[in-house]
Amino acid sequence: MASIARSLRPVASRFVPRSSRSAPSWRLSSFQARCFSASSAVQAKKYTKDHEWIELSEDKKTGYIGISEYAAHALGDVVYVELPTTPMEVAAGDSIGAVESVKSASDINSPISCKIIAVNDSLEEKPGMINKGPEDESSGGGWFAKVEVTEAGIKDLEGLMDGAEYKAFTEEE
Amino acid sequence: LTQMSAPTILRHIHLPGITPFSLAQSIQQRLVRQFLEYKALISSPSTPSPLPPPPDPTILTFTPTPVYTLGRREHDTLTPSQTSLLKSPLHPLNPESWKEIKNSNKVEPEYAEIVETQRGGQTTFHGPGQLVVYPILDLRSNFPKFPKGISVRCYVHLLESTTIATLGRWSIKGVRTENPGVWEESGERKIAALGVHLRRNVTSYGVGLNVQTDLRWFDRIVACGLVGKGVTSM
Repeated sequence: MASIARSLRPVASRFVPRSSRSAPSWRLSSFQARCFSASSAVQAKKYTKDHEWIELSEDKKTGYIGISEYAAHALGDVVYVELPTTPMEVAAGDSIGAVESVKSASDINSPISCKIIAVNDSLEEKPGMINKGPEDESSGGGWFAKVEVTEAGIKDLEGLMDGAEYKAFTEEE
Repeated sequence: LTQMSAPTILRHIHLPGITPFSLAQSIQQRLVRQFLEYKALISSPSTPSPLPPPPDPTILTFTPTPVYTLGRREHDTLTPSQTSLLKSPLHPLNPESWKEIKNSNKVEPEYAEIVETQRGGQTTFHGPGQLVVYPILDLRSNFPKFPKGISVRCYVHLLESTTIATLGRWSIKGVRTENPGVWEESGERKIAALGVHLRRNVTSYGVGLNVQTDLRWFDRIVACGLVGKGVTSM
């Protein structure tokens, strides 16, 4: 069972390099738990002016990055996603990859200073997942990267917009 | 949060003659950097007051030395044999008379370089006989026709419309198909290739319009990844 789980989710074993063989299947169910208890277990999403979002875990040590619904809609069908290699340490605003649609490659920049520890490999085969669920950080979603948050990163968060501010911002455009 | 004032000028920089592609790229990069630095300036905690004016949206036009450019998804994908094919010499077409040989500068074979770029799209060719048009502007500016800025899709559509209008002035009918770019009437052969890069909504790269391009350069590639489709020029 564990070996089947491992072949289905090769990325999972990269999250925790020291995990035992049974860890991947356990990790699968923790992603599902994350889905169901989304609002209380995690911090709310914060957004950049360039339409990237970051959502921290409850302990603020890790987070997920992606592009917003607004951005995914504006881009149209995503045909290619360029993911960063891991691990990668970045400062707020550094380019971490790109999404391509209508022959236009749009850079994705990191919202905060952090260390990229994992990427959503499924986007390589199925870039359209970004259009289906750009703000979804579950295993079937269109999230872009998983990160470890640094001290500097926590500070960077203060400059970002919350959901309501972001909504107002996009309506202004 | 200051709204940028409407740009009133569209600056056009034309590089005369034939320009080494790398030179045009570095001019483009400088222009992009001006826009990015301005964005960083207006969103920093210590924004100067009054604000300096934003950089002018600029269109860079030029004709480069022969070059095959690759989009982002193609970095490191060329095989050694593909690379040597692309870099092999292109011999001049047989001149019709000895007089042509004497007067022509083009007795020597030409060679193309290969350059990986950050734009979208796949492989295409740029070179003598082609007009390359790179608009550098901030899609999030307040433009007279687009006061709330332009989306990526609208921008690409606009590049295509402008190219079609340009062809129209020379009584050539250009059409769109489901693939970005501009095609001749039947939609079988591409007359202008398109590929854009966006950094924080600042555009770079753009359109390559075949005016009198030696189309043999295109025989070596599946232009823009579209098998079975051809290429044409004005």
